[in-house]
Amino acid sequence: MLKQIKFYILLMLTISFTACTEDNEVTPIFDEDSNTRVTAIANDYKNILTSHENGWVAEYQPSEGEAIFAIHFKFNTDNTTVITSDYNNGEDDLPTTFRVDINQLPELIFENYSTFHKLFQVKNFALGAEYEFNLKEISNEKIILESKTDQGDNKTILTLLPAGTNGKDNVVFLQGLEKRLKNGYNTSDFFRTLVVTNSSNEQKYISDFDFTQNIRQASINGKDSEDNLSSFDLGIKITETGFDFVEPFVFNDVDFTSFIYNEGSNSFTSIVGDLTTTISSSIIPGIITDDFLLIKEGKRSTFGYDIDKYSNSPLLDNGFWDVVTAVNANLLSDNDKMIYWLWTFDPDNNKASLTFGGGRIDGSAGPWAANYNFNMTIGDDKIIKFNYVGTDGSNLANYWETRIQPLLDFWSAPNGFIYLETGNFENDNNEDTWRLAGRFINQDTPAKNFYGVWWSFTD
Amino acid sequence: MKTQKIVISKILFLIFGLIIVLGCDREETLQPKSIFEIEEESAAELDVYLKENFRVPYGTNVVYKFVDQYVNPRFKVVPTKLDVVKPSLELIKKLWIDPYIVASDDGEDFLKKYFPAEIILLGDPIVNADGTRTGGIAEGGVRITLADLNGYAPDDKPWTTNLLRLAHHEFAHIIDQNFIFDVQSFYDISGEDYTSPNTWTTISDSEAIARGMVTAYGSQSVAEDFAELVSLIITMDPSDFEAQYLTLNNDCGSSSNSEFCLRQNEGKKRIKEKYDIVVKYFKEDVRIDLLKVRDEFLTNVN
Repeated sequence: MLKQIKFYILLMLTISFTACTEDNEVTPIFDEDSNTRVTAIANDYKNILTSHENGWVAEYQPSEGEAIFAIHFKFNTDNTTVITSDYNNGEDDLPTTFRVDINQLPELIFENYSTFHKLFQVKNFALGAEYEFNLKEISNEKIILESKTDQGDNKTILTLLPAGTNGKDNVVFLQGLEKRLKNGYNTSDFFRTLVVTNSSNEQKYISDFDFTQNIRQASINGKDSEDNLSSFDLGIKITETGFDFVEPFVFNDVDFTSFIYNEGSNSFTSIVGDLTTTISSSIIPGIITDDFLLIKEGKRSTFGYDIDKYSNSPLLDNGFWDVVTAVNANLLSDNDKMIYWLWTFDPDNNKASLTFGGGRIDGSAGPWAANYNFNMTIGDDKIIKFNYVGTDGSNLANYWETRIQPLLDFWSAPNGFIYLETGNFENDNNEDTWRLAGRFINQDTPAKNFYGVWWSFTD
Repeated sequence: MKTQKIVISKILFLIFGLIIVLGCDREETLQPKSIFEIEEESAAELDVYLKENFRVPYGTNVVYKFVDQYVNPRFKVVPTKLDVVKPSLELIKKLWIDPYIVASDDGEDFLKKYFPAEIILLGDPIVNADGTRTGGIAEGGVRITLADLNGYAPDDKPWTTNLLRLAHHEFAHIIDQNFIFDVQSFYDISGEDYTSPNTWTTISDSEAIARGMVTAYGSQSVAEDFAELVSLIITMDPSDFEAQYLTLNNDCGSSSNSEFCLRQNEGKKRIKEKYDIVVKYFKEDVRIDLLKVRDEFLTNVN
């Protein structure tokens, strides 16, 4: 027992002398704790962002092959950013706060809705845009941002360079220029065509040229002089003199990239060697596709537009709203309005039924529906014609018949319609965007055409 | 003897162990100290407004700047526009907070205790991984996410009603989570007529009424049924509510679909039963007069 007591006393003395001696000799690796150091780094980065009096400029390409947007940033010390872009005429350049943070990597986050967020949303979130970035490299001469949310190895890179005194003005100058590319710009001719000619002015290639403003992309579907078909979806960068394709339009191994706008002819031209590519306005599409076959074969059967549900769409044209306005004027005395119209096609029997939905202006009642019968023919010339037969005999249909005459007249156009498929449905309320959409172009007045959504379709 | 030795040995070991543990002072570097620096409080007008109207009175942190940790990474979301934050919150004060304050003598204290600790604001409806959209989320009885603020427009009554319908729906979940609602009472009424989170979209609102629920969304579970009912009781004019959900059709025989008409009548009777249960639950368990909340809401919204 005594032996054990002695052992423990010895052990205690040993431990007492040695246990506390080294603790105070720990030398910290850093002068400050980690949080202070992280905050200091974030502040340093923020200082660089805010230090440039003229701000920063960048060309933003959300993902490979997509359009390029010019953007000017002015970062302020109160954590606000003023963004100026050439996207959508600058309408989405809303004030936003920004945050420089250090998580796994230093990051720059645009915290409130602005241009980057709009680009993130368009194309059903498929444009590849982002509003959270990692700071890859930062100095007074250059800031390299990398998408925080892109998956895989091919992440979007955004390089900010110090702006000159005209940095912001240069971007402002570009605002609104993209509207020159739109169908119907400065003309009542709704379409744009792309034509390639040689030095003898012989047409070598002709196509449609459809510009989609919210993603700044051109779709080209055309054929050469030997009827070989080709199609391109090309992102666009707006320039002071016209535009550049992000990737070239190629014909006969010749690349056409830069186009110059001519205000007098309202056209864009690119000349390479002895070939000239011209994009100009037209009353009909450059090429009438076989999209009509989808209707003829019964793969597209119910088509229309619900104004209450979708509100406006960037792809609706004034011709549609003219008809709506005229019908609503006729319904006003009953306190009613147009809510929707809907085609049901029966190509096997050459019939079609147009359903008109109306209801109270204040939304308190309706919609009520009435049907109007048409004969339908789809010719070898790819033209679809409707011939009005009459109502379905119901009291409501008879009562409304004269009131909705502008709608019935529109669809009874003697020279018929061209049908074009237009991809996923777009509308201001972002409803049913997974559905396919299309456009019926009135051959008598091509400036008037109806855009709508397919409620029933198969591949 | 051997046992005594072992005991003494153990006692000695314990004493020495304590000496070792307690023998050294804590190093200064190991003293408790926050690892977070206290960030300077923002003097921005909006932040001051949030502090004075939400943080101080209700302990509510309103998050209007995008922070990814508040959002499931599988969701697609966008933040709010800066200029819609304050007017939207004014509506929330007027149409959510104020009605609860007047609905009980303890309304203010009730809100201090149960008003969500965090309100997350988002710009547009949340897009889920399957493409469906969600207008709001209630989590853990303390956090509510309200999406679709970017749709704000002054005097847009449908948008306002929609936002507040969402807020009251989510707050009903918080109430349910804090004052345990008798789930069985609803099951006893609607039983197997509930759908599921994956199948509620397959029925229409009319069919939901026939099943005894006010909306198709509410048909997916008792919790959603309860929240939808509370939300509509508060935000609908009582005469509209009655006409839409309670008044029976006495002329089903002449209806083109008399069978469905009769089913809807049965459904409306069931909605009435639930209505009574909910109003009673609020009055007796939550100690809030739900109909007073409704009246104040309707007064303020008009």
